[in-house]
Amino acid sequence: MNDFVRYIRKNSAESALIAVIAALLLVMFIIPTSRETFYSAYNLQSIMRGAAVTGILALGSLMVIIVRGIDLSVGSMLGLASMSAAIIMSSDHLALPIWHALIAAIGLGVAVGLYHALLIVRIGINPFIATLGSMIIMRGLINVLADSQSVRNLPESYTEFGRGEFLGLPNIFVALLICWFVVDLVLRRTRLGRNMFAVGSNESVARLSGVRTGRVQTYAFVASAVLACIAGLLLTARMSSAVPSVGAGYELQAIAGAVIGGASLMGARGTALGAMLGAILMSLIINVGVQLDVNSFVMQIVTGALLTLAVIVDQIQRKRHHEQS
Amino acid sequence: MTDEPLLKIVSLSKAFGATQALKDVSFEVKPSSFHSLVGENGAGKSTLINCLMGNVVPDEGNFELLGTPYMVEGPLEANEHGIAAVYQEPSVAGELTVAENLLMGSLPTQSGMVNRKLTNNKAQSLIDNFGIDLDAKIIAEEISASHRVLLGLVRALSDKPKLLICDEPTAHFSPDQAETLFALLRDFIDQGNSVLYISHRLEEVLEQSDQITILRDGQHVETVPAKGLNERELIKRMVGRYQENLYPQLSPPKDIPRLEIKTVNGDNNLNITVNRGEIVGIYGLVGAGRTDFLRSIFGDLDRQSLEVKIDGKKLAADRPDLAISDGLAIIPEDRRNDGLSSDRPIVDNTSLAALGSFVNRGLVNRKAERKSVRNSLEKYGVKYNRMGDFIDSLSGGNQQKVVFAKWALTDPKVYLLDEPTVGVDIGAKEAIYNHIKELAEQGVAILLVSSYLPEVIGMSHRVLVMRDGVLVEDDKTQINSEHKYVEMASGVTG
Repeated sequence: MNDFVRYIRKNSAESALIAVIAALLLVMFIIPTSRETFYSAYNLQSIMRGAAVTGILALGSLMVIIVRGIDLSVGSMLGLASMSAAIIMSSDHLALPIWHALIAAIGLGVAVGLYHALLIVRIGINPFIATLGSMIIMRGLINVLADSQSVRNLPESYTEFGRGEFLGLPNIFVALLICWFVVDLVLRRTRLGRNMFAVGSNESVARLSGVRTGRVQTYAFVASAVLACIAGLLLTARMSSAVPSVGAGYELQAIAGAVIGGASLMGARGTALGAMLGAILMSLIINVGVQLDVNSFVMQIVTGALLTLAVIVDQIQRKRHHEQS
Repeated sequence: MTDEPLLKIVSLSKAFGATQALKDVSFEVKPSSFHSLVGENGAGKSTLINCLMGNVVPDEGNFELLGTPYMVEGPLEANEHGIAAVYQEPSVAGELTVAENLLMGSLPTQSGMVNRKLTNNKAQSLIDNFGIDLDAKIIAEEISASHRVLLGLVRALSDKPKLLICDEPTAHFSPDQAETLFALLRDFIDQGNSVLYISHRLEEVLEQSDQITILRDGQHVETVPAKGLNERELIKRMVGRYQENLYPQLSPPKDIPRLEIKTVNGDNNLNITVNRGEIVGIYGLVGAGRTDFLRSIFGDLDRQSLEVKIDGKKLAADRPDLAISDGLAIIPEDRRNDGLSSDRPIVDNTSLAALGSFVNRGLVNRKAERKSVRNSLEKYGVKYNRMGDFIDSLSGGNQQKVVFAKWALTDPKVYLLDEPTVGVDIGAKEAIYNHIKELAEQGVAILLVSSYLPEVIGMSHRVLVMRDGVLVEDDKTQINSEHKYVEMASGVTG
């Protein structure tokens, strides 16, 4: 029993999230009118697909937040990767195999991540400003590339993947699980992950302990951008199209997901599981709102309130911890 | 001129955790007096000033200013009651002008809006009244360090205090500028007020003071007239005896060089060799540049012209991680901000520098990590509850032991110790001294920076002195030459 209590206290964010999600699922089960629609295969899959995109974004945001940075550009990054890949894939003129487009999208993510690292680590610009700038630039780029048009004629195999399943779960959701596994592995089991927490906690101590802090921060920003690209590719597959506005506003959901899941904007806190659960919870809440016919703007208020609450709880925990010392 | 003291300090005591900064300190400052306060680093001078200015609340004791009890809760209140202070590095609002800094909080307005012309004129006339050459319209960031002090002085004096506290104001002054300052202070004193003056520049203290109070280890030694004292006598009273049995008997160093430090471009011709098993102490006053020196050796600061070799191998430029794998370790002065991450677990803190040795096929082997950490923590006598607890659940002394346990895991050949026992209680101090002795016995070369003279002498085979970023080398350690070290650190010649 003691071990259980200790586990709960140590992983308080995840435990809380699991409890809330379980409560939500229970509520939807109890209300008879929503039971059929909510628990239909179609709806559940829809939830999972939606959660996957936000979840992968949240995992990327998590890494950057752990090193005490922030990446506001992930929504635009998602859109840029999505649009670029779509254009390449749908181009009769280029007639390239799909995986060329995928590589290009990932390469784009690496490039953008390195660009952020250059601005933030090398030159020393505030991450908020730097990524805000690229967020705006990339959104403009998307419109320039696509000439403000949507791209629809994507290859059949690609959109098949977006609708398909693997062992009963949507492919896209499986992709989320894979990303979760990798990010969790890096954060909890590798030296890089450990160094990320060290840098986020105290950059000076990390540096004086031999951690190559610039390199660690670079990895975080690159990971954030690449994961955003992956999310973009998956979203395009699911939607069978790419519109110029795709991904707009997603960065806030990504950050909210990570923070609700236990990450702290002051760095060095958070888990992959928490970030994923946070994203799932938000997806769930939106879905529940739709089911119960709640105004979507009310849902927006709820999401914002949740994020604020999560940040307040984090602040209180930090304060209490400091006072005890 | 009455005989009643301007300021009376009665039985002042203050402890910070396990450190007794002030113990039953009592003395008086006469009116119209240049009263100096001298003592080594850690003697309690800053704490005394902080109590007077209301930054710190004393545990025991009280003050009387002009016969009435005095107790304030902050500098503003202190100013209102008649005590003002000027510091060595006064903080100025860099982006504002000198005038705006001077009149901050009471800028002249006209119909509710700040009048720039009035501000400049008022500030300039204040400055001119004191005979200082400073343009009130300049941006504060651009004025020299010495002018900042003068600005601070003008600001302090404009409140018409009865007692002016000066904390090392002449640190960045040329002799001429110092003359200007002392002239100002003399005027102030002639009006019946007093100056409480803190400085390490003993020749200055002896020349200017009417009275001198000596503090040592938080206690009041004596308060005497300056007349009749010379430097050597003064230093002898400041330094006193050191506790011989706190420091272990050091084993003699071996004859094999381990650490070599040279300046390459012949600026101050540095050439230091530390042998295996040798502890070289670096003494100096705060601000002498010792921390920067160690950081440069470590590679955290630009090494510029320093060339560092360990066991004959030259260290790569400015790569702390490579320095560590070449056998270098650093224990920083500021434990809280540079030594340990306060919101990380004990185990993560301890293993951070040596993490590479626990990596197996890309993944950290947590079992091996915990085992090594547990052994190291035990070896260094760290008292903790669980390894997963946060670092700040430990006392200062225990935290410092963790720092030692951390570096032990990288198996260093050279230790750079920067004030290793600051903020550490006596019991932990003794333990740490013994660890340092044992490290030396294993052949480690050690540079020990400390501003506490007894510690430097007790724990080193030989002592170097640093002043204003320059090392003054002294090859022989003579136990009764501790006065000489203070002299060298203060710049007293002869």
